Amino acid sequence: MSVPSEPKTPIVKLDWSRLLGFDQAERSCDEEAARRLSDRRLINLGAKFGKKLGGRRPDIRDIKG
Amino acid sequence: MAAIDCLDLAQFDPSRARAEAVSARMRGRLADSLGYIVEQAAGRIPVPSNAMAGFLDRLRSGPISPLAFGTYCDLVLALDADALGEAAELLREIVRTPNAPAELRILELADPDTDTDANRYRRLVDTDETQPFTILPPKPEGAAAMRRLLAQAFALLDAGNPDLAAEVRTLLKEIVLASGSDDPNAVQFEGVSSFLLWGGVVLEVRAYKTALEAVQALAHESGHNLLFGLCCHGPLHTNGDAERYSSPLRIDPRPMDGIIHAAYVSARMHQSVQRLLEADVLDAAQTQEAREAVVANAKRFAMGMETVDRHARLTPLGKAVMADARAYMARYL
Repeated sequence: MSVPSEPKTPIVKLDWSRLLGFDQAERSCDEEAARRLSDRRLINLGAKFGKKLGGRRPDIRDIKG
Repeated sequence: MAAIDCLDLAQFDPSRARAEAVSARMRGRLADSLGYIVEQAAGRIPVPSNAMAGFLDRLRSGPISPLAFGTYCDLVLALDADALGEAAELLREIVRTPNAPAELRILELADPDTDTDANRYRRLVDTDETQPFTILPPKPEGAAAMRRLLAQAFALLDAGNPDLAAEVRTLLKEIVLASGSDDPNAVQFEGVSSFLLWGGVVLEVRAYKTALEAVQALAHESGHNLLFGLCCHGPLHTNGDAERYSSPLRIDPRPMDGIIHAAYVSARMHQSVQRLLEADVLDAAQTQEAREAVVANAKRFAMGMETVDRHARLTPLGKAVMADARAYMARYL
């Protein structure tokens, strides 16, 4: 059985509330979230996709907002 | 500047002055954030202090490449991951970022495998792990056709909706022409905007066939950038990021942020076309296309607002932004 590790404090500790965009990151997410741009903490910073303008019936790939 | 001051900028009608104010706020907030990072990083990684001071002056004084926002994002995440060597290199990249030229640049995506800027665009528009997708350099003929459509779109806007033309040129610094994957099963897109690339948009060159579609693309993508800019001191809503709501605009449940954005840009697309109709600058075929577009955009706005009204916990900023959009749309619903 593995023991959960302690959350790691970065060497350069940043208060995200002082950082553009990151101040709106989800604070309740897993502290050990992977360092990826799809990091769930950054969902409101992520890309907004334009949907097809034509008349094709929307499907899962028609992404808007 | 407090978030509440942003209420004065929440008006729905396009305005160059509003766009300039939003740009100044975004750049000022980025400069403050970078200044704080440099303070915290001093002594732990090499900081090009003099060059950074010069860059922050340039940043506060005028528009900057959208890639500066992306590099800043990479910097924060590198520090969060203790990738200090990478962070030091990103700081050096940031101070080398040039100011944006006065004119809106339209450029073709270079090869992301060999070009640093193109690689950053590719990574920063692909942020939803549930909907991964890629952008590729466009074919020359597709890029040329898109350039013609954008020129026609700006000509229409200059003639019939000059306030929107001026706002778009102020908010956006780079339009990157690209293509999606040819794989029929891949996620397809028409345009992408990202907080992380503020002032830049990516357009799929194969997605647009008419000047009016390009007009709406400009209104749509600049609308996302406007909302990102208005949110630089605080959000539009307080719904949790993990919450999902059924969206009339997509089959898969979406975060409230996406639904608010979708409703807002639908109203903006409506107005972009409606004003051209009223200005009588469209030919017969365009007039017919415009009449169909305003009906479709009004429907999308109404469906989006139904979800917003039922579930959104709007901040004062969010209430002001959406109230003004609703006031504009009221006569068309």
